[in-house]
Amino acid sequence: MNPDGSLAGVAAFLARRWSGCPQITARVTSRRGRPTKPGESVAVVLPPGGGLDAYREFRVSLWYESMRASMCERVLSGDHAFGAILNAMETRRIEALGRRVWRGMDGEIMFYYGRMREARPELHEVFGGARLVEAFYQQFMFGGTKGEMPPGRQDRVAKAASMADEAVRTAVGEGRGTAWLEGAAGQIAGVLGVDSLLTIPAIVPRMGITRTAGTRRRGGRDDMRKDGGAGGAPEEVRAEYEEITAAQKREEASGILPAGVRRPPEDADESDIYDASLAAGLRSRFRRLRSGWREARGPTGDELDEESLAEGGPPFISDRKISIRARVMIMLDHSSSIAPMERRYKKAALGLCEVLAYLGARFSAYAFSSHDREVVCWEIKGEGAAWGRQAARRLAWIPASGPTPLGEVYQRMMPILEAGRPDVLLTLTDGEPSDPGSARRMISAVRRLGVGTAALGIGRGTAGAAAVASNLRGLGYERAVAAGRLEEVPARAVRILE
Amino acid sequence: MEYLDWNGAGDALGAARSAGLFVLVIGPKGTGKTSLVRDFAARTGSSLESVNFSLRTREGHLVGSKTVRDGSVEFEEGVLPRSMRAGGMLYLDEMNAAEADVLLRLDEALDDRRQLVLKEAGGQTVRAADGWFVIASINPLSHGGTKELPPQLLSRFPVRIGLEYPPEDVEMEIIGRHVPGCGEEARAGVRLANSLREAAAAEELLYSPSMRETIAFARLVAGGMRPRGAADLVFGNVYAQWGGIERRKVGDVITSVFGQ
Ligand SMILES: Nc1ncnc2c1ncn2[C@@H]1O[C@H](COP(=O)(O)OP(=O)(O)OP(=O)(O)O)[C@@H](O)[C@H]1O
Ligand SMILES: [Mg+2]
Repeated sequence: MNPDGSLAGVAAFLARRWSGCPQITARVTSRRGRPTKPGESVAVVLPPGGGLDAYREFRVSLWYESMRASMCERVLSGDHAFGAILNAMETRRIEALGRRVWRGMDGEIMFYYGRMREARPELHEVFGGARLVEAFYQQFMFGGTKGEMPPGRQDRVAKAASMADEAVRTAVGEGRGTAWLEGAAGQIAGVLGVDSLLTIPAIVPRMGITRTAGTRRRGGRDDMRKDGGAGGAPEEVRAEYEEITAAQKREEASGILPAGVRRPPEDADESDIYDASLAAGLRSRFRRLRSGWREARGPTGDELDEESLAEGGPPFISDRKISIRARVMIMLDHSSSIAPMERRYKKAALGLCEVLAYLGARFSAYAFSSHDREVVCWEIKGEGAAWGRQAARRLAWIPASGPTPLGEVYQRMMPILEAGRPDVLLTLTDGEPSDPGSARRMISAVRRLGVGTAALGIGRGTAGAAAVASNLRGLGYERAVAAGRLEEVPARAVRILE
Repeated sequence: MEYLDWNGAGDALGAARSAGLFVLVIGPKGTGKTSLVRDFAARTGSSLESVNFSLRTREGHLVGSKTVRDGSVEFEEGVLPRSMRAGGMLYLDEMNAAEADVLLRLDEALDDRRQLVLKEAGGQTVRAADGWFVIASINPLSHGGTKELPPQLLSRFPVRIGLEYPPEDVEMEIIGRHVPGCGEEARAGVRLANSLREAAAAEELLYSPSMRETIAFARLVAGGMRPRGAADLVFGNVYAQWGGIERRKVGDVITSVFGQ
């Protein structure tokens, strides 16, 4: 797991629900940084190592930080004694209040206590006054310490811990907040005999170490502090973890392109091929499609059309639900034969993408061209990426050059086709492949993946278009249609995909 | 079912009617708009005609359409002229889901002359009887399939009532009317719904649970279902249509309320 992408999105969502602050942001990091800021942001560290248990721990600490964000007046850093003592008490206070509402958290809080205790150091590993603070923390949070202290110090620790218990109980019972507990934290530092400003080194989490035998526990005082981690992960949390890891894999995969597929630079000027009025026109033309209904004529229906009746046509109009549910991959021919009409061709392709985005279709777009006798597939828009100016700039940059080696093109796209398995691969081309045998083989390989194959041929005029279409059909595309004029491309393509 | 008039909307309707003014009720789905109107009609003993608008609503549905009967073409009046002649109550539900051409015909009938020319039926004019009372409801723009109303149509409804999700305690009282004796679990359901509503208002989720759902949840739990299972059925599963992550993150919130 990495702290970005899907995990960050889920974390922000959960933090907002749990804290009840709809504007709050979540900072997921791999190392401790600034603490949570109430009403503004929650800060959570993603435990190292990964795996389901690390995710469970992450989730519970996100819950704690969300409680802090909504119930604390401020959150101090724990790098000095006063802050560390106060934070421990605040943790228990917000936990008690939070559990009243989020009653389903109990099992995972128990698990969390187990993880936290495992992560704490043995007392002999901590030096100076910080050892007393660590002993207080362990005694207060877990009801026992890892390792012994000299009797006099042990008594101070026990007294401080029971003072903290009492303070938290009172704070919860009387509805007191951070400021009130700050007073108690000062007193507790005094009982421990440590300077409030004493530096507390960050603990290095002890991952993968089994529970230390030397832990002394009073136990039975509070069920939360009993042996944590006994129960397995709740099904829902496991499913969520799996969903996030799968999504992150996809996110990573979409960032890395297979050999032979490249991303064009985004420094070209797209205004040359971006036609706002064309886009607006296309949108209004396809509005009916977006709303999901289309008129159909028939012998029965909702509304009578007298004209049609008089002409002997089907007299009734009714609405039919339509939509583009298919996931589409578009491949744009950018061979040298495109060059004479490059600008209009790009405009038409851009128009098609605009329409697909407008219709809410999930699509990716690629193009191919050849340079120095090597074919390159260019990623214009990956499936997960949003359609926008950036993608348009990439399209604008791609130079039209070289032959039309469709077989080789599909070969290079195979890893992406296999990983993404779109429902349809739609190829826009103006003519014959330069490697028809290989193209035919690759088209059937693509079909074997369960990906539908469609081609939209661009020919000059109706006759030219028809010739291109029959040619494409001969190559083994499941559907092949042709457009005689570039302006027809978006509508033709949408009709294929519907 | 007894309607709970928690925000005085019923009185506002009464006042508008006596003043001869039409009313627009604005609120997300499932906040009781239809119930409010039905309750008002029942209390005042008025006849009530309703139109449920959607993108598919055609002009013909409203004003009437020609149809073939026994081989000849006839005009069948729609709900708008019918209600005008009868002078009862007309409820235009989700008016902003309709297409512009449909709204244009409405506009004609709703302006101060309160009359409609049926060009479809020989150009005869329908005049509204005295006491004709029109209430329209619209969903906020963020809701799927809704559009902005043209301003002149908006001005035909000078009285506007906002109907939001009620406060938690009020919602509990309303649920109690539908599911007598429902307990604390129902309240947890309302809290969960409110959290999801907040997310939907910020467009973090694409669906906002209505009062229909909180009532349904209370009903399932009162019938003996475990709250966790009922919450999945009523609140959780609907998000699966936007993908695994959407479903899971809502599932997580459900888990943190009801446990496994
Ligand atoms: N104030 C109320 N008193 C009693 N029941 C109510 C009240 N408000 C809502 N309800 C109940 O909540 C449910 C949804 O209400 P209703 O259908 O009136 O909402 P709506 O706003 O018209 O929804 P939609 O926008 O989906 O048409 C119904 O079961 C209704 O009985
Ligand atoms: Mg309704």
